[in-house]
Amino acid sequence: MKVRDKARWGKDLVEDLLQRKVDTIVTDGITGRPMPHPVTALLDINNSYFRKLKRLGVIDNAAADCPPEAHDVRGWLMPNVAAQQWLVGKALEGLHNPAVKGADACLVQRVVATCTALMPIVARLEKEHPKTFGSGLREAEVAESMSTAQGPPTRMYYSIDWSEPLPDIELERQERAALSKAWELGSDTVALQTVAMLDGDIITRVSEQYTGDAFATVRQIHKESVNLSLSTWELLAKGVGSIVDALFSRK
Amino acid sequence: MVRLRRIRQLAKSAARWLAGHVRGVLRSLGRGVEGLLLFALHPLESIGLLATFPVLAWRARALISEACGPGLIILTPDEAPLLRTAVTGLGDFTTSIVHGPSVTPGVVSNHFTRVRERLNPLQQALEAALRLHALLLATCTLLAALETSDTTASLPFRLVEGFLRGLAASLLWSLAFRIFAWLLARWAFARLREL
Repeated sequence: MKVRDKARWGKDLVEDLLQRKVDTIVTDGITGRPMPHPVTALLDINNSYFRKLKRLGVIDNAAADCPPEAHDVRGWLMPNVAAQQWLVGKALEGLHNPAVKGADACLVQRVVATCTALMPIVARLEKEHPKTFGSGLREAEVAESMSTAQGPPTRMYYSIDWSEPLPDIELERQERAALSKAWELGSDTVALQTVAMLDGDIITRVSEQYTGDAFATVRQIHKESVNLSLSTWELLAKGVGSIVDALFSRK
Repeated sequence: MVRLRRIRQLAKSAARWLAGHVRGVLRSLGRGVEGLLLFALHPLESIGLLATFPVLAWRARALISEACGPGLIILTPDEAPLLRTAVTGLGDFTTSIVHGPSVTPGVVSNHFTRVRERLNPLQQALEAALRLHALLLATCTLLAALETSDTTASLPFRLVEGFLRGLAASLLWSLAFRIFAWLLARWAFARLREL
């Protein structure tokens, strides 16, 4: 590994350890699966945001203003930059909507932040795998619609070819962590969130609806998570500290 | 004159470099002593840790790969989970709860016990490495100290010789451990970067 790479990687690692985040989510159902293939994960993220924004009334007529390269023939959002840009645009409009407030406004804000953070990663992947990320037309679909009595399609749709195995996608550790975190959170409301910084500041945010006695268990779970996260952090910091010491200490 | 200044600068840099390494060796020696104390206080636990060190190191590595990859997922209960903790990156925790009467304090405590158990290899591997270092350091020091050259010499002389030999051996061992840790760290950096 080159010295510059090593230093950059070391910096990323230290940055990771500078801030710890603990989120507690109250959800309707839990699945046991870990994050799927990045393409599927991006599909999940984009479409869960889409459904949520629709439910909140931020998106009212998707068919009218969603660009064709952002969705497929069934109306599913594609895992590409076009879809994310459209979502960001809609979410920003939603932030000016007075009807969207409280936890919902936080969620809309999260859509903007996550999509913006994921966009450079998706742009790179789209460039490397144009077919998988919907930058190529699925010819069979177009041919099929052209052969019908209705004549050629008025709109051409982009689609992922699920009949072929998804390609191996290389993600850097931080990219994978960002995608994984976004997929984990999905569009669920974060009930409690704690951010612990290296200088000792610990900030906990509690969603107003989870402050009552009925949610004491949720708060207890969050407290346990924070304790566990901090003890693991201490351990990792010690281990990484020894590694950094062994690698870089010269004085 | 210029050459003399250059030589002085070079000597200064070399001395600083050497002093840094001496300090590193002394720190490593300190860690060894810390490990020995732990060994003396908890002998059975230490033996257990040493016996399982390779397995623990492997598990710790797998754990970090999983957390840096798709995320480390812990579910309670396994079937129809009510609680799910995902550790992503180097320690972001996301806990999802299906809120309702089924999430009892028992289920919660059981869940966090499981999470701790999953993360345990990390701590255990570090502890085991520390104690292994301490044990090897002690063995090395003791062997060198007992190996006196002159059996006819007076007791104080033999004691001083034994002490000096032991000190030299422990410093050499610490230096070897530091070099090993450095090589291991280089390897770990290269591997982790690939994840």
